[in-house]
Amino acid sequence: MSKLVLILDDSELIVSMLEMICGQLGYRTTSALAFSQVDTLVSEEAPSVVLTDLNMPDAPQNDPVQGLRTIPHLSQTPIILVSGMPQGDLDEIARARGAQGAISKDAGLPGMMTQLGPMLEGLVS
Amino acid sequence: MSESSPTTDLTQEIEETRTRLSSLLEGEGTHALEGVEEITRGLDKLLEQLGSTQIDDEATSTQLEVLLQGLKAVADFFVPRTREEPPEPEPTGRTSSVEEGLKQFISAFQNEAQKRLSGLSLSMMGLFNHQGSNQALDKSAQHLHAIRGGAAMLGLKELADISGLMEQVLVTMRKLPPEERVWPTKPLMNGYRLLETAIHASDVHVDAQEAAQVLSSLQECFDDLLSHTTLEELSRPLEEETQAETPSAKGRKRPPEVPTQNTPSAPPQHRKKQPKPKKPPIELEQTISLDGMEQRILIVDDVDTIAASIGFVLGELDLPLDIASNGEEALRMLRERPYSLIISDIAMPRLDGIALTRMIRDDDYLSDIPVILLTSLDHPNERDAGFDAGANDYIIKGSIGGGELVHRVRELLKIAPFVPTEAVHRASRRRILVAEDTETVAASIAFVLSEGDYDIVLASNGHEALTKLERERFDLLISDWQMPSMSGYELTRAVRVSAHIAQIPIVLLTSLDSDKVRQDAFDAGANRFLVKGEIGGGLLLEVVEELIEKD
Repeated sequence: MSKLVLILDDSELIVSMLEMICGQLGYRTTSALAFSQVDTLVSEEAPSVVLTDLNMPDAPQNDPVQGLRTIPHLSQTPIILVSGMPQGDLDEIARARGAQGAISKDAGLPGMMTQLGPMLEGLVS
Repeated sequence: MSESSPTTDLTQEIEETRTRLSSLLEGEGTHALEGVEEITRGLDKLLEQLGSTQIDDEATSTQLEVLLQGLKAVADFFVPRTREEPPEPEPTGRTSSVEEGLKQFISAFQNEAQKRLSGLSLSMMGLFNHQGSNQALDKSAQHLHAIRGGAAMLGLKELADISGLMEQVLVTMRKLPPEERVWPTKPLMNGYRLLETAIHASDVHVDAQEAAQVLSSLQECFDDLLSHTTLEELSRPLEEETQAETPSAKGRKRPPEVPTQNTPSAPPQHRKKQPKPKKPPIELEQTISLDGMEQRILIVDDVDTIAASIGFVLGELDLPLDIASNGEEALRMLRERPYSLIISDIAMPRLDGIALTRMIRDDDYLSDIPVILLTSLDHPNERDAGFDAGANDYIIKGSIGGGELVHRVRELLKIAPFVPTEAVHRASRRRILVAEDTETVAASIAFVLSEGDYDIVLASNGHEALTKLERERFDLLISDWQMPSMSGYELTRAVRVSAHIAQIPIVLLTSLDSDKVRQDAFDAGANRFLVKGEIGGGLLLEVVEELIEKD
């Protein structure tokens, strides 16, 4: 069975697009539109990677990485931040917050897919 | 072509909404939508009643408009979800499937963006208040953020850049103290219109030249904002959670690049903020026609959404707008600062629009302000009463489009007075220095004076007062007689021999009611001598007004 990716974003559209990208890359997906849904969701099956929007409105202290780390099933799970910020800035934020990767929406769907493939492969292997 | 009545318009809109909602019942899985069926039955009854009655009072009309807005929101919520689920991804052919998916996602993006734009149009109304509401800022930024994210992923670069830069302007504005916010209304409205046009176009087309112009004006605003914002303000956490991403201390979020005709893909500009010791007032708007003067409009309506809609329509004029929720509040605002034009509803609690118009015409200071009555009351008697009260125009809500309203406002602005800009108005407020060593007395004097349009500054003794007088501009000094360090008597004498402040009017306040003290006060140079406890707040205010006016 393929690895599971948890997608966390408050926009249904973005979730749908990320689901498509992950599906194309051969991963299964589960998704949440609110941070508060994550706990219940991951108790059924822990994901191998989390793709989260940097800006989740209900994330504790506006920091989804810190919030995800407090959930027992996700304390060690690799996290990739997704945002509309420029890649360089986003990389810095990811490092500062302890995320394992970052991907900018500015790359567009094809670009994101190109970047996300090796990133996911490296994190789940 | 005959004009439709407000009742006809409402009926049509209710019918359309009913049709949208009832369409939900045609598909599968309708068992979850029993509530919608109930609503459509209720709407059938309502339409039946409306078919045989004419709405002739504003209260009913307003209630129906509010009801309709709620139902439209319900329809907006359900219909796109039910009808247009995002497409399922193709399982094979990685690159071609992504390209295909990209096309399919465009329509899903348009649906979501349309909903976001509806929300944005409402939340942006909160920005028309010159100080802007934090909630309106947060909500507007949240909607723009969502549009930006979807557009960026779909490669809709212009849309992503415009929404991203609009978001950045709002996020930066949010970090400023409310009293320092001056809205770049025109660039924001132009950005909104461009987004709206593109999102409603079948191919999400954006006119490149128009986009470049909008981006350029937004970028100018953003740069201007940054140049007046300190590092401390930029890095200050917001009081409430905002939807905008907070950049790291070092890597502040940059605005998207702004293409120009010569450099369509110019790299993003890196800005380094230098803290400034003192911020000059921010002036973003180019609405000033005379130096330090502008035209400013006051909208008066007790229904927030209607006031907001009027503000939205008038955004095209690129003029500062304020909103009052009834006649009484409008009158208070008119006494606090001057306005060029008033657009008022008629039926409102506390003070209706006709009474407000009459009071404006009877007031020497306000009588030359044009008034437009914008109402649902379509009766000859009401119209006559409005014109008799002194209204310049009487418009029935729903009888004209936004363009016509803008045209009529524009016509009246030709005869409307220019008023001081916000910055000039603030600077022109009279400043009073109160020298008083007892805090409670100082506070009560300040409280009394707050009834007038004054800026009050306190000093706790004569020395401090003298220092302030020598360094800042004041229009009046009110001083206690007995104070440590330097008494009111000594302060008055010092002021009268100081070349550049000798002319300031001085009121001496004391508990010592004796002829000798009174004589000493006048000998020292006081203009008025008042005994504490013998004068009420009203008298003090009168004395102050008289001295400042005379001065």
